[in-house]
Amino acid sequence: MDSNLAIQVNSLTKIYPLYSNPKDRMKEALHPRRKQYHKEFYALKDVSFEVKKGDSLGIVGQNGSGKSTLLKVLSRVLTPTSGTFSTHGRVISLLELGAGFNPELTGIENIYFYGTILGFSKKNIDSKLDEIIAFADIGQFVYQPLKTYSSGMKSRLAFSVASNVDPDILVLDEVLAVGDLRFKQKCLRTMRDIIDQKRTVILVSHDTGAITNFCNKTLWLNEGMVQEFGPSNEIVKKYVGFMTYGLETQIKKLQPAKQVEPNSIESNSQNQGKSKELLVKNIKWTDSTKLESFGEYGAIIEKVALYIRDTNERVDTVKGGEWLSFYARIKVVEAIERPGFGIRLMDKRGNGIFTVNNYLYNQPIRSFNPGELVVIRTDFRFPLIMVGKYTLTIALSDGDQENHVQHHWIHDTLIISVDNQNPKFKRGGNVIVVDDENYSVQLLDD
Amino acid sequence: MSYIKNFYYFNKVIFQQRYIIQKLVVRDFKKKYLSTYLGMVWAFLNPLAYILTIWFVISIGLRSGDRAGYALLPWLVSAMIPWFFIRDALSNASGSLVEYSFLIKKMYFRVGIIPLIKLFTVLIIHLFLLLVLAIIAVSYGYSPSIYWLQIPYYLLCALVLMVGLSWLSSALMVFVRDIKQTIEVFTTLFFWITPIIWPHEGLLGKKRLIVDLNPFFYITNGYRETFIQGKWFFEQVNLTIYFWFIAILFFIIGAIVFQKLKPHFADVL
Repeated sequence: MDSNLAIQVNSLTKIYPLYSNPKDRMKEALHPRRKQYHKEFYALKDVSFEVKKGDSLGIVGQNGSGKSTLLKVLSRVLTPTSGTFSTHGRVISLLELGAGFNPELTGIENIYFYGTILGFSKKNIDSKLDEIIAFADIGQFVYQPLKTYSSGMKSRLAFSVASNVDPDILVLDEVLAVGDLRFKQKCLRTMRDIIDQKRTVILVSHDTGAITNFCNKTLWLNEGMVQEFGPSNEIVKKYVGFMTYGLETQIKKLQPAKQVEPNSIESNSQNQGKSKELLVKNIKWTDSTKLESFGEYGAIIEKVALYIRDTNERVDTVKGGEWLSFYARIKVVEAIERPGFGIRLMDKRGNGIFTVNNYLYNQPIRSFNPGELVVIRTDFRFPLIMVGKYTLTIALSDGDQENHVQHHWIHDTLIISVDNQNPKFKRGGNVIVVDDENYSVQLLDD
Repeated sequence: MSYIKNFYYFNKVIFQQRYIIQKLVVRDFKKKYLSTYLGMVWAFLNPLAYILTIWFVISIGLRSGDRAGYALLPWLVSAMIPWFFIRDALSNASGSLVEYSFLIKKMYFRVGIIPLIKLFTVLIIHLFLLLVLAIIAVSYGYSPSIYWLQIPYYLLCALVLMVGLSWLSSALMVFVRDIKQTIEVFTTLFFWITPIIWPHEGLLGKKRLIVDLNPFFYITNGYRETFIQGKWFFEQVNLTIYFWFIAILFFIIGAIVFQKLKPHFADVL
């Protein structure tokens, strides 16, 4: 194996035989001509990938997609049916809450017990004991039997043992889900330290935010096969699209827009303040048909534009606090009964900052007719947020907030820089603190 | 060669993981006895009641007294106590992988250790029962002799034979749960066909061969010779060679079967 690699997996396959009843298993074992009574279920099918040292790998996928099976194979709990894999160094796995812990023993005894199972000598654990106890931070409970622990305490103890015994590869299966926020942050910091030391972390989580924040590579498993493997923000975006709407995100090359005068529809999320209208024909559009998108494509958002509402000035840098107008030109293919148009601001790690749409503000848009070209204008006040780069993700749907068909969802349609020289707002300050009257600080006498 | 290497490696692992083995044995022991009012007492009450029942049947029911010049009770006890070890080792170890599935399914663990944990638990009780046996023997006038030096030897015989059988039975049990019932039948059968409560002396020809071919006989008879009859194990060269052949054969079969089936444990459990 290449010395830069931490994990190399070559067409790993794991087959579970499925029997319709237990008798079949025996019949098959005893059959003289080895007749097969089982159906084969591929928990993993031809999975190949490589992870470099210092990478962190996120694994996403639906329930039953083979994530845990893969982790169990990499942890040598399960033996693969075919295919090979090699791992570099000591692999420490936290596969299930409390696995390897003994409920009758106290926390300290369990540290020794678990540490020994992981392959450490008593002396070795002696030297790390204080560190482990301090990290777990569960107070007097370390002297109590494990059966008295809450699930959060168990995961604290498990994580602090696993992370303090110098793993070369740390495998975590949803173990952070039960910890409180502060502990989760502490775990993430520890995981970062591990990565900084050119070691490797593998994380299975349904929390796609944690994956994009933490893992630089993501493996998307679907029905035991590798659906996608690559940089996290890219893969997670596709996965979220798939999970939310059951559709694959794809780079759609749509027909360029025809020059037909569109009907203008205004959707004011906050309908206040009058200004001179910007004529639709004067809008300087940005083409949005070549961006990553998914949906039913019953209507296609062809062009977009972002303006300052009051000055009709086209922008890509905002200060925060100002009113913006977002224009979208849509080509209608099928009839859309109850159109919904939404905008979501995302930070560079793919976390949502806010969402506005006409469903939420209860402002219906008239239905669209096939063949029509429409322009939607959304006015919203941009919040005072931390200086940096953000993206706008937009979507057009049919239905209502709870139940709708996604027609065109475009990831990262526009990139927005937030820049504010006012030091009060530079670090994000607060969305609520808009004016000085809203905030004061004073020293009080005793 | 690779088997010898594996064997060496396995012994190393057992030594490295002695803390775990110790903790698991203690846990096993506690689980078995500490949840009851009489606790550890049951570990002795059960075999002693068994011995007393047999003693009652033979001496009162069948009105038969001493055996070939040896007092009945020490004669009985000296063979029954090693038999209890064999019986308990087999019945406890065979279910061990199923019982400890939490160590197999969720983490990487030296699975081969698990049947040994049960074996060690049974061994602890056996050591206490050996003490009881010694007390009974002494109280009947069979004072400690040079032959008692054989105790560790026969203990080793029993352990080697039972390690192989434990691996074999526990590995098969994962796939065929009927092994449990099979072992119950098997131990009952062997209790009666092994000369434990009846003397083997005087059997000739084919009948004697049936007794000699039974490896458990070597152990039960060995204890009896050590404590009561005063004979050395090397006085029966052929039986000794045969026993070790069988014991090592089962040890190797057990190890190979266990190795071969090990990859499937986590799937089936």
